[in-house]
Amino acid sequence: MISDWLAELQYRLGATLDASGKIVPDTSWSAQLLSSERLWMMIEGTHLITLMLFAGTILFVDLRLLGIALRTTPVSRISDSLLPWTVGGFLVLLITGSALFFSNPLEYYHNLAFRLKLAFLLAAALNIFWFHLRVQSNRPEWDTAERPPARVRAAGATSIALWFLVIFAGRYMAYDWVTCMNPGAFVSAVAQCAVHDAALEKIDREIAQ
Amino acid sequence: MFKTKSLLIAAAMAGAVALPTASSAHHAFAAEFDSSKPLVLNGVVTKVRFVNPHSWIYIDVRNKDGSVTNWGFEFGTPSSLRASNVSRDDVHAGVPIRLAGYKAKNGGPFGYATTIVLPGGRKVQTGSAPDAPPPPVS
Repeated sequence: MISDWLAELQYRLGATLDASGKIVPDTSWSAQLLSSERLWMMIEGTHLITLMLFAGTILFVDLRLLGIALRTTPVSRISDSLLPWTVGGFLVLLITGSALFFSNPLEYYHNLAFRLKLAFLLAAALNIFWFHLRVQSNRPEWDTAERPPARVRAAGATSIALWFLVIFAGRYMAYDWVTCMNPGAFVSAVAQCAVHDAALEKIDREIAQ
Repeated sequence: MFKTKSLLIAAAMAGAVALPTASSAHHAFAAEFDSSKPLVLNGVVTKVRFVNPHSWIYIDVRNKDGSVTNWGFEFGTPSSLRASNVSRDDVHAGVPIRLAGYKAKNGGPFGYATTIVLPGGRKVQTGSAPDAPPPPVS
């Protein structure tokens, strides 16, 4: 269902149709983006470089929470001055990431590493909400502590671990053994390769080769 | 003023280093393909996708027992293919081609195309991995 919709998004939306009503290959908006000479690379490059801004600022807030870096500066001063950069970085990552997903939606949706990345992203988001709603509520008590209390340090360590996993999974999306190309039993099950193959076969019949 | 200038120079240098690799460094050849398993196949094109980070060409190959296998090959970035003057007019469904390259490590009918020979004998070097071995046949 979702896969058929993503296949339409990838292969039909914006595409030219020939006289018999078939889709002319590589003419959809998604395919034009994916086959562009420079634009796709610029978006991918921006996505990767922005990671430094996003994960780098998060890393230093987390290291402060762990009591490892910048120990003599109050936690509030570090997080308040870095947070706008983190949020800005996230917005750029979200926009470029969505564009990259749009350029190959069916394949990414059925990519084991992409699914893991989304799961880790969700866990990292839950950790942020947990931190802001619960852990941070008594911040004035440990704001200047060189080594914050255990549950604050735990939240910082969890954050580092989860963002590392998000980036790690993101990098592994590029390899064929996490995709539905002759997948093993595990990849095939988690990435729902039977659904992928059916959706691809269905849309392939609509494409003039 | 001096600061702006040195920033610009630094940015230009970073760009000069990054640009040539940006078109090719998606994953290494060795991550997916086996340089000890060269292959040369004759087949008929069934499907081509000119996409980033590398294009794909699919060909039907007749096996010794008479059955047909559809092989998929990674073959160059859209920009490198454009530079080699290969377009959909050269490789569309129904065109017989000869293809040399290496087998994928995933064990399926997939591979990395280093060279294709078009009808009429025009030979084109393809592939974009920086660590790819030379074509198995010249």
